Order: sequence, then C-alpha cells, then structure tokens
Amino acid sequence: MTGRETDQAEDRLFLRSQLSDIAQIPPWIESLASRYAIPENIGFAINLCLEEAVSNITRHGYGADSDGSVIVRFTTPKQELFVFIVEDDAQHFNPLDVLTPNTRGKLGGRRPGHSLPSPFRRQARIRTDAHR
Amino acid sequence: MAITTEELAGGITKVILEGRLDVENSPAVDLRMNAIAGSRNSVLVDLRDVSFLGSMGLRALVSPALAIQGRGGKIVLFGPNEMVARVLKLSGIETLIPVHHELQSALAAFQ
Repeated sequence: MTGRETDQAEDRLFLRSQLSDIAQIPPWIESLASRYAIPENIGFAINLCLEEAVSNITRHGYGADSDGSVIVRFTTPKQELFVFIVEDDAQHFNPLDVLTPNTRGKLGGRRPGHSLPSPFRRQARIRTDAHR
Repeated sequence: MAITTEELAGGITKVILEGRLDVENSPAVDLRMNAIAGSRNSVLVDLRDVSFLGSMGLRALVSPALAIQGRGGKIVLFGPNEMVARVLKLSGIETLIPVHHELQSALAAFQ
C-alpha cells in the first residue's frame, strides 16, 4: 500500500522501497506546510532529511527488495514543533560495527566527500534553527 | 528537471539547471553533466532556477567538477537560492567548487 492517511493525531505517508516512491515526499510536505504553517526553509530542510533517510533505507536497507515498507509519520505535539518519524523493516545497520580505525578518523575529521553530512547531524541543526 | 547549455564568450559553457536536483531527477542530470565535463574546461553552472538540492544532486555537481578540475579546468556555481546555498555550505561543497551570487563575479572567476 502507498499513499497518505490523516487522522486527528497524525499524518502518515506510506511508501514502498522504490526510489520512484520518493517523489511522493515533496507534495506531502507541501500539503503539511500549508496546513501547519511550516516555514519554507524548514520545509526544504525536512525534504532534505526525508529524501536522504528514505533513499538510504531503499538503496541500502532493502537493497534488491522493491516491496519493502517505509512509513513516515508526522505529528506536531506543540506549536512550531514538527516531528517526523521514519519506520521501516529493512535490515539493521550500525556503521560503528563495520568501520575500521582509519575510517573512524576520516569521519571524525569530516573530510569533504560526495554526499551530505549525516542526516542525524542535520536534523539536530534543523531543530536548533527552528527554535531560534 | 531541465538542463540546457549555452556557449558564452571566452570558451565558457553555461549549464542552466531548472527544477529539483533530487533522487528522482539527479541520475539524468549526473549523466548529462558528466558528458559536458568530459569535453569542456570552463563550465558555469546556473543554479538560479534550482528549487531543491539533495545529496544525489550534489553528486551530480561534484563528480563532473572533479573531472574538470582534474584536467586543470574550472567550474563555478552561480546564483543558488538561499536554501540551496545553505546545502552547498553545510555539505562543504563550496570549498570544492566556488559559489558566486553575481554573474559578473562568476564570469570573472574564469579570468
């Protein structure tokens, strides 16, 4: 099943583990932004985080399985606090289990690479900015 | 996502990107940018009409940039909106590829 669901408590977006399903995220965020007055820059950042998280789940978590489930839940427990939770059943991955001492050093030093810094770090930034 | 090119004076190729540089669109842009990077040494990437830039989009900019710079060429990004500029800054890409907000300074970077 893919698509949206809304009830009083939360909004949910149901996706399959296919990169094409990621195209459903921006219109969903736009819809939430208009209903919950989410500022444009915060909406952009949310898009960035969700695209990164869902594409990683799809490409690395599920891999060849294109029928895996990804659910994005949205709640706004209080004014100007927007919470997104991404749920999946893909195999677990803990980078600390596979990093060699060498790569730990590289990550710690944040050497520039081809991709963005960790979405978790970015989430922390967004949270900070949203409450300035 | 649209990608068009324009030849400017001084042998500069202007690449105009329009739309979202996201997971869905970036592979096609990546392919086209790498083809351009393979044959041009001075590339100005016009980002004024790019509304979103994700990590796959960054890859579509960085890979060709490294190819051009590796041959001694120059690539410059021009006119990102505030949010796209923030992604370029947070990701550290602006330390690899110069970002200009004015066309004049972007063109001057090729002198």
